[in-house]
Amino acid sequence: MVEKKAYQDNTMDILNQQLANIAAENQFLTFIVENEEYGVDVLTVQEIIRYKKPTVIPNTPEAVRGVINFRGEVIPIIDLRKKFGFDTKKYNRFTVIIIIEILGKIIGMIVDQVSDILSFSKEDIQETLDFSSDIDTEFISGMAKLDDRLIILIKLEKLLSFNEYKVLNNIDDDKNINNETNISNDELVKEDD
Amino acid sequence: MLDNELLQTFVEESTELLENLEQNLLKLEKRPDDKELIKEIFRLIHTIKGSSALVGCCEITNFVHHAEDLLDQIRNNLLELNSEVINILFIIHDIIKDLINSLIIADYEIDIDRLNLTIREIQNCIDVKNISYKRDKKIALKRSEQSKVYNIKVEFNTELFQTGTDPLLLLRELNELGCFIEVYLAYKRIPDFFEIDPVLCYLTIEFVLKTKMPFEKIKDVFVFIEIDSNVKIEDVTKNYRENIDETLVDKKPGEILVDKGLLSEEDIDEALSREILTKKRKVDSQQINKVLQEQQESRSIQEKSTIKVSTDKMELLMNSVAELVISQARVKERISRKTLNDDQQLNASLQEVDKKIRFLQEEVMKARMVPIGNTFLRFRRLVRDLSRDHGKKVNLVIRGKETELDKMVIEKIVDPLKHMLRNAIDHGIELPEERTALGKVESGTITLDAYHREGYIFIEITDDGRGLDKERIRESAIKRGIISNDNLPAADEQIHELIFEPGLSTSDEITETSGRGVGMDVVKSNIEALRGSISINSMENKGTKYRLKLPLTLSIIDGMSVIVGDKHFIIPINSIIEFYQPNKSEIKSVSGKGESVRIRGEYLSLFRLSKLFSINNNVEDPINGILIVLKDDDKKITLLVDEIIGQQQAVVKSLEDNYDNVQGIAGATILGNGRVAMIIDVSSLMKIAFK
Repeated sequence: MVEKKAYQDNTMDILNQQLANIAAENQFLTFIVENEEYGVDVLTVQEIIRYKKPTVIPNTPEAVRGVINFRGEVIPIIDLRKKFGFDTKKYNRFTVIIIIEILGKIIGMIVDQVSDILSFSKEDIQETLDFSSDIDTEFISGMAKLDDRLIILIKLEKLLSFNEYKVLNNIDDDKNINNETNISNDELVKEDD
Repeated sequence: MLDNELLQTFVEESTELLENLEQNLLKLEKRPDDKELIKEIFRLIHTIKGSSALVGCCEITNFVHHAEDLLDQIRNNLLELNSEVINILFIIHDIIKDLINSLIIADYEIDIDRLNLTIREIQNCIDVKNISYKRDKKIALKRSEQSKVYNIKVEFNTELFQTGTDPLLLLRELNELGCFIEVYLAYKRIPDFFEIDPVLCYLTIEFVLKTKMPFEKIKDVFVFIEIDSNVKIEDVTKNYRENIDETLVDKKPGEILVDKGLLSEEDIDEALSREILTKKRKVDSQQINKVLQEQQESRSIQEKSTIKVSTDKMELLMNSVAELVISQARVKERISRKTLNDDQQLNASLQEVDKKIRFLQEEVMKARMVPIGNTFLRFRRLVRDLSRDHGKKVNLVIRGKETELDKMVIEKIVDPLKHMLRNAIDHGIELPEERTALGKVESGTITLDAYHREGYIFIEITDDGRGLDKERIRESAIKRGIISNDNLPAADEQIHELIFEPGLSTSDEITETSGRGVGMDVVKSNIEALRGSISINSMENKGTKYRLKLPLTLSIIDGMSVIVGDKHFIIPINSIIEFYQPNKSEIKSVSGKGESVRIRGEYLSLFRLSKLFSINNNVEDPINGILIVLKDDDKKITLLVDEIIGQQQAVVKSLEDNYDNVQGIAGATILGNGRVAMIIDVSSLMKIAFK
């Protein structure tokens, strides 16, 4: 167990180090939510941290898991699974929080797993999208193709409009009430002190 | 645009001077005959001119120069100070402010047309009066045709150059008034060559001036430097008698008397100068008394605002203290966990540290506190302009100027206060005719008051106008779908609360000041963002009172840590009256209306925090938990929590910074173990409770 954790920490250290050294545009941090690969502009990413249990803010949408202390700042944590309308899944040792800064605000996104840092040329990114109607394109700014991988690029500004969360929340409030999922592994939830 | 230090200082200094100028202009409007006031205004304008030249802002220097011309005329009684001229002075103030703003704010647009128009207006004023000026000048000359000789000794302040004053200009000005008979330069203040500081002024000049101008005129030349430089003007006419005799054409009555041998020269001179002096004294002493009184009023404010520290620095300092509080909490927690609790010495030292940190925190907090007086005074101008525009007569009464509050809070309440003042003038105060018809005094009164109570700051804006129009608020609210016809609020209070709903406006026409229906809701959310609250009290035809309740500080509060389920919450100590463990017999559940508890004969509603926040709890029966009696203004409720951890200081972190405003939550804090806990906002929690 301890070894696995160390391994996990190690990967994150490497990724974080890479993040710190990147300055070029068109680089994307990719991560996985419900078997799909998503990407965000690397320059917006502050850090990737292990999942830690957030403090719940009362009477807020369920996609907002709560707040955590990040370098002395209190930042909201958004569960992308919930936000994208997927079922809640038990958090495991791959679950991480990607901390991003966008429009002067810092927020954290819970994702299933981080995968890579990739660079795309402009031609690789397709901005106009034509999906079947069952896919919500509201949060998507474009698609990127790399070999046979398809990466969905997220429109981060959209994550900030918390008002819309409320609408979303009202819909699935009833069926998900008291369905708080906790991390399976206690070791990971514990504070690092 | 430019960002060097000198410019920064200039902007800061000028902003202060402009504020001062505005206050003085407002006073001048009431007392146009006050010569001292005019001199003070002239001095302020001149200082701005001097320092603007020093930092090389030619536009400002040029414009202010025109303003100075105008003031010079006024000062010399050559221009009547009517309302038109005072208005120009106000415009001048505004334009200077604009010009200064344009230095610090990129893309700040200056109304060039207005600037040029004002310059033209100033020139018109001066030109029209020039005819009378010449006539006046003749009269003035006639009055003192007798030449006088003055011995003038000027010991310039060493810092003179820093104020942008050029001693040479003074000499030139003197030269225009008369002619120099003798000039001496005193060397005694000039240090050794190696010690000379090239930016200092070591000049001491003594000269003898022969002039036909009156004494005041000579004195006026030194008006800007006499404050910090040593200026001695002595009438030495008698010593230079011969000199004058040679040049004199006309013989004076006094001389004739002397010629006739009735009186000696000395007698006349003495008699004359004594009379002049006493006369002058009389005038001066009255004016001085008046000025002194006013100074006294504002002194307490001004003296306290003398040290300048940038808000950024203060913020940094405060943040460091906040971090310190968190770190200390962390140490505390560790000690209690590691069973070091028994170590008496360790505990004692920790308490010592605790005390010191508290002290430090209080002092830093105090340093951030500034009296609200300056902010209140700034509204005088707003009230003046608005009431003129609306043809209303409004008296602004200011109280509680010394009340101190956090600089950050002040900055954030300026706009809300402005808005409420506008509302009071626009909707509240009636037109003079209406008022007299109602049997009220013709001019309305708006009172601004600030005071401390129960660890909060209260700011009240009271007007004696027509009060809120309940009917129209209700109509408008129904029309806009804010309330429905079958759910009409009955109580006055509830109707008044409606004005805080977005989109509500009772004004039929849209004016510049109000009627757009944006406003009170913004005011409310601004106040709530400061963890404050706002209440209204309005009586028809008696007036309206808005009351803002604000926390003393934004950053650190004393809180009680409580637990519900597995979650920590902090409740501000200020809002807690007591803790209560009830008996079974004291709990009553009222069907459909929740629960209540009887505490010493008083029935209070009982709410469960777990229900209000939809979270899990461990204690279902109030008997096993603990009730906290909370108050907000005159409302009291009891709140059921699982258990109480204890008192602790909490550094308030805003949720709004990165997220949003949440009802019932004032913010978050970081606990000793690094985790986050929510701080409860009692007044908005009550709103959830009574919903």
